[in-house]
Amino acid sequence: MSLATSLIILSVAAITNIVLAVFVYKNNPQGATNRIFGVLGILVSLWLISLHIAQHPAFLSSTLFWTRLSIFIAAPMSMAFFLLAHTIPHTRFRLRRSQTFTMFMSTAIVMIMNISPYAFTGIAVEEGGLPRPIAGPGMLPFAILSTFFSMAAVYLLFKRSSKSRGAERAQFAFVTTGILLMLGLIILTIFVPVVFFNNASLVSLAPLYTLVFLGMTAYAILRHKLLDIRLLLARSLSFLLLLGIGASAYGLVFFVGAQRLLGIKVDTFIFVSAWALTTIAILTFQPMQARLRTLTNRIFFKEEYDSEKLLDALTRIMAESIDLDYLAAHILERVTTEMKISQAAFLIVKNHKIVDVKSRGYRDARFALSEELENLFHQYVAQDHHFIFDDLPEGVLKNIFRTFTISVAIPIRVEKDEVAILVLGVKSSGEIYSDKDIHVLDIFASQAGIAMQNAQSYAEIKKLSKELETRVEERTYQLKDAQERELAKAREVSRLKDEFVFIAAHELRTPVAAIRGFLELVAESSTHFPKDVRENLQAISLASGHLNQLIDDLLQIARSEAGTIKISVESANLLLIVTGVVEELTPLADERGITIAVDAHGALPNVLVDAQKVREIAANLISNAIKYNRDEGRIDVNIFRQGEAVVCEIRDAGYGIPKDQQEKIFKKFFRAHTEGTERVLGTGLGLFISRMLVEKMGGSIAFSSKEGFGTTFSFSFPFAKTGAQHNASASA
Amino acid sequence: MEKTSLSASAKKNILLLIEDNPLLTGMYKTAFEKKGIEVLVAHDGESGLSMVKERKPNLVLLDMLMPGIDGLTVLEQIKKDPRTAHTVVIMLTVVQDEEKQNRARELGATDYLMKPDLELHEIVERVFRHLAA
Repeated sequence: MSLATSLIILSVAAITNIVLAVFVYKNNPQGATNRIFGVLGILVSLWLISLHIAQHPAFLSSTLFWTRLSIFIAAPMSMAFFLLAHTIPHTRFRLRRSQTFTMFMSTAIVMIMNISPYAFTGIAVEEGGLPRPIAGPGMLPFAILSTFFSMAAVYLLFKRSSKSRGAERAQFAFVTTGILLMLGLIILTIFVPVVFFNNASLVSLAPLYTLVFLGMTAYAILRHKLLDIRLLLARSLSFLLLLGIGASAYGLVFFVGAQRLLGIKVDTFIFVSAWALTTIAILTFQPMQARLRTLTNRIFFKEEYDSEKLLDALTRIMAESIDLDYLAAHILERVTTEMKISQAAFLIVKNHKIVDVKSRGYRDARFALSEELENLFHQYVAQDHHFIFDDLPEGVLKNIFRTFTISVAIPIRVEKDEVAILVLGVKSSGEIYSDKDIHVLDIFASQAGIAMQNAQSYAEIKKLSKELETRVEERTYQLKDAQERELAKAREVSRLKDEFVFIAAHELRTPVAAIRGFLELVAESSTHFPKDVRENLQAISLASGHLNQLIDDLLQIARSEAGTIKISVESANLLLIVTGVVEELTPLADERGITIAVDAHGALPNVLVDAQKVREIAANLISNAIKYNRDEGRIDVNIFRQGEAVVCEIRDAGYGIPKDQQEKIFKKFFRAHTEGTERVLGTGLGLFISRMLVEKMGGSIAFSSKEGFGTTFSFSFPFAKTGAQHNASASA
Repeated sequence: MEKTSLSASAKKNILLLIEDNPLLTGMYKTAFEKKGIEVLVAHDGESGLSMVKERKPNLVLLDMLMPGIDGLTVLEQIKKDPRTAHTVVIMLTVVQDEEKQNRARELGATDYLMKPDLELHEIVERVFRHLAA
């Protein structure tokens, strides 16, 4: 392999290592891991350079110095390797003071030993002109130290890796993979060819292998700083291509152009400096750089999701529904699929408490209701926009993340109030969350607040309305129950009242019957009594008769109101009934010289009535007509047909009813008062009962009156549909 | 004239009044004794029944509603016993109840009188009519 090629490889490896070292260090200058890595990267570069110079010396005499220098650098390098294995991925040194002291002291001693003439005693020149350093006894401490550090480092890495979880485990995986890759490559390309095929042509590739290890480790450290390994690879490749093209251009210009055309001899120095200048020129060639970048991006980021599209999809989901379950399920599905995340969950927050979990992929979603997460919430959520596991300092929060396999937590807020926390687990690919991921999630979180809040409110309203419904139902039931009870009570009260009236009336009847009976017995021998006693007895008789009537009426009303009044209707001739009543009452009319004239017109169909009740009604109305008439007065009873009904009209020429009393006459206990009727006895129940009976039989009752000129009452009943029609003639 | 003929035809008649109200028993007793009828009084159904058996009245005036055994039961007992079955029984009541009225007729009551509807003399006349028959 030519010197130029090995030089190029060295340059790439050394420059990239230094760039990585600086980059990682700059990312977190306070972090122990970053510092160690920085030191390690620079040491590796320096070691590579010194080694190269030692193997390709400009002057043979300087070989010994460069060889000693390389081994001088190798000592702290192995220490740094050990330290890194011990510290990664933490931000603080974890060694005890005594351990650190011992480590540094032994390394310092070995370094001194290495630079001293005891490690390498001299230089022998081999046949091909290549210098070969001769190792002395001073090499022994270095051999022990470097072996110890390397073995310990590898052991630590594997042990800690097996104990780690989640994101940390992935970090260890990268570091150990880097080591294994480096060792594998060394064995495959250097050890095997040299030992078995005596071919050392690939030896100069060795510096590149350090790149593999340091690159993977840098990625492991920077994971949380969102440096995607693919980005690193893509960028590295684009640079390599750039350098390749630069080298080709250089070769063309210097070897073909300069040497052949101009006859200038090109030595190593000119070659290196010219090559470097070309590289710088190309590096600054922006359009090409951009072109190469897009090209490599296209290769390495082929499967990547489109941020815009993902955000669009999420916005659409939020616009689609207001149902919290639907929202959570669909958003989580979309995010986990696109970003290739194994687990994700929404922790629903209300009044600064986690009240519910909507999870996808987490084995036990109820973890979110644990006290630790409450802690997380109270101590941290209000502080920041997002929490990334790898960014967190060691402490309570980081432990919570570790325990529950949380890589990223993003509070979702409306103004300053948290409505939910979006929690994401590790990526199924083992990769880290990229800047882009976090950026997209941040944008999503800022948009999701209102939607999540609405969904929560909606869920609450739904729940509330359901509760309300049940409560309304309950109350309705209670109300109905109460109503029924009230009704039953009212019925009972009404029944008791009726019973009371009924019993009272019956109990009253017996003594009244006794009074009337004894009065009768006394009256039989009244001829012996003086006139005034006889008159008084007459008055008592009248009063007891009235009392009897009153009790009868009350009983009838009570029966009617209790619904126990019995009315059995049949086809009957109204004229016959009324004529009978008139005959019965004629003696009463005669007493005051009143004449009653009955007149019937035309053929009268039968009506459907209870004859006994009609008799009561007619008797009541006609006796009223007698009572409220003037002496020697006249009563006209007319019976005639009107439409489909038979009407009975009773007209008196009495005192009439005053206008202001007319509307009250059918009321219970109402009695009209006019001049000339003061001495009329009555219960005030007759008209009330009459109207009630008429209406119960489906008829109607009416009256007209003019004060001083008399009153006309009329009642009517509809025809009996199947009844026989009777012809009736006028009779007195 | 009517009065004398009534009293003459009822000379050997015995009337049993089964009625719990003393006011009414006093009244009826006076009214019937005035007409020359021997009146026995029982204030409840049980004593009434035993008096029917012992004294063998021609006619029983029986109140429907009484404490203890009611009128219908007394009527049933009188009519069930062949020794007393021939006795004329007239029911007295204040309640207009068609069912009970029908039941009384079925059991063999001769008449059914509504106390409040009838004047005392009307009741007396009805009783005499049945005694004469």
